[in-house]
Amino acid sequence: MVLLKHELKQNLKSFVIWTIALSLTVIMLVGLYPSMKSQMDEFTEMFSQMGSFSSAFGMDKVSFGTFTGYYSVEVNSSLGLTGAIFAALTGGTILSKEESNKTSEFLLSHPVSRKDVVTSKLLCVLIEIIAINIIIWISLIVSVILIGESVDFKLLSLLHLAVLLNQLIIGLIAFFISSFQVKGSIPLSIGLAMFFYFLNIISNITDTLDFVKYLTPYSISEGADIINKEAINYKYLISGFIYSALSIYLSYKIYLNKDIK
Amino acid sequence: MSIINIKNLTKYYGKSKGVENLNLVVEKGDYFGFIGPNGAGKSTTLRLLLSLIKKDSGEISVFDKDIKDEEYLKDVGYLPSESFFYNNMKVIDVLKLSSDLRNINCDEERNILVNRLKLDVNKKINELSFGNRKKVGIVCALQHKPKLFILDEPTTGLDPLIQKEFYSILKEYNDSGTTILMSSHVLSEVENHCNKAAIIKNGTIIASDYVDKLSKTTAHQISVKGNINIDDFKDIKNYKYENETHSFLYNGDINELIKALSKSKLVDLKIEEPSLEEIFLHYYK
Repeated sequence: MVLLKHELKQNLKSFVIWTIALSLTVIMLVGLYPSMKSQMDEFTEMFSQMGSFSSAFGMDKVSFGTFTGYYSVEVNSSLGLTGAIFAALTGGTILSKEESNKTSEFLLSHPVSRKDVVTSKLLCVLIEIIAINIIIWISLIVSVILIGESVDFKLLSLLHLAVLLNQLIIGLIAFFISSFQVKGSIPLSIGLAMFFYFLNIISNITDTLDFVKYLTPYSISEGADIINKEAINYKYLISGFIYSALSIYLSYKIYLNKDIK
Repeated sequence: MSIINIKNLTKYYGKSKGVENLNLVVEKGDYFGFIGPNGAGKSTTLRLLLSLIKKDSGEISVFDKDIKDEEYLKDVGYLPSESFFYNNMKVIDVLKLSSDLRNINCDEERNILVNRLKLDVNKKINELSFGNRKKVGIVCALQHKPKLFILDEPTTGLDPLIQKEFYSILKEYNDSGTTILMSSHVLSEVENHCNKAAIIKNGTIIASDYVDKLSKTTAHQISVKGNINIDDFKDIKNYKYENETHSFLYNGDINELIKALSKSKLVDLKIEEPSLEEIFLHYYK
């Protein structure tokens, strides 16, 4: 508990900055909706004629005339990428920073097991990702109420839950990277988050690469699929579950046996 | 009772040797000096003792137990050669974190050490000089009154007054039963403070004994001022000629030495026991 508390305190400043930035983005984008509402039918028609560009971002399957359609394309997709970068940064630095900042000698010369260190840091990553998403979700609900839109809150929450699941998977893979990579863990983690994002875009463009959807966690948070089926497509979670379980297992395995620099 | 018992310890970093077949015993109450130049394997040995790195083979026991889990660290205090802490934290918060991680209240001892070392606990870590960070390291390593204190190059960065205070603190701890293992390449530190010492060379211990015994070899340090022929002297080491004075370490028959000296007219002669530094050089040449 001492370790977890210490870890949460250490990350507090960056957590607050990210939370404010992402919540304000959501509030601002939701706030723009009433002024853009009248033009939405034209947007829908325009995007439907843009071929593979619209497909890439799932804009060919949703209607901009509804708030959920607007939210899915404008808010959820940008939150999907920025939130994943937050998750990649949080997970990708949490173990490696002790070695890069040379504090690991201080920490591990105390009677704390490496297992406890990994567990506390893992919990810290999960808590931060879940907490930032709860705050963003509250900001979303409050701003929707303020603009006076009648919205299917269950569907909206489902869209956001999918984004959360995506971030958790990215965060856990980044956590694994930070267990063995000391200096390059940040670019590697962010690079991986971007790679999965573009993998999803590619899979949206062509039907022949449908299997790629199973490889990237962004498929889970594909807004158009969730709106049309009114459910998260859980089959895309299989790869995410495998990535997460392997990442956790390997992080413990590596950190418990490595030479601390 | 041995506090540290290391048997045939080997550690390689890839192809590079850290230590090989290293054997070391530190008894309860010892004030043990661990001497060797940079890269000889001192820090590797200490990091293996703290389980910061994993051994390739051999055995390490501390307090008569194999160091499989971290329990033994409850009674160990460690001062690294360079102390690093969380930059955004205040000194007092780092010291409290250290005692919280040990799950004990160290307020009383902490206050004593902080006052003796003249440490400002309200400063942030990133505002501290190298020497002041070292003081934080000393308090962290001592405030829980450890049974074993491991120090790696302890006085680097400390000013002479604080060094003096630090050594008197160590003496008090040692007198009350704390075992101390101190690595250093400042030989006078080991000679002045430690009762035992071990010399490490290329990852292996080449001598380990009481400091007095290590110094009391059959060798003598000879300084001669006068016109001598150095070829008359056999079994000599570390020969130097400075300020018209010949100095060398003599390890032969003392009668042969007198005979050789009597061949010349001498201005001055000194026959002394060699210092630990000269012994150290003797082992390293």
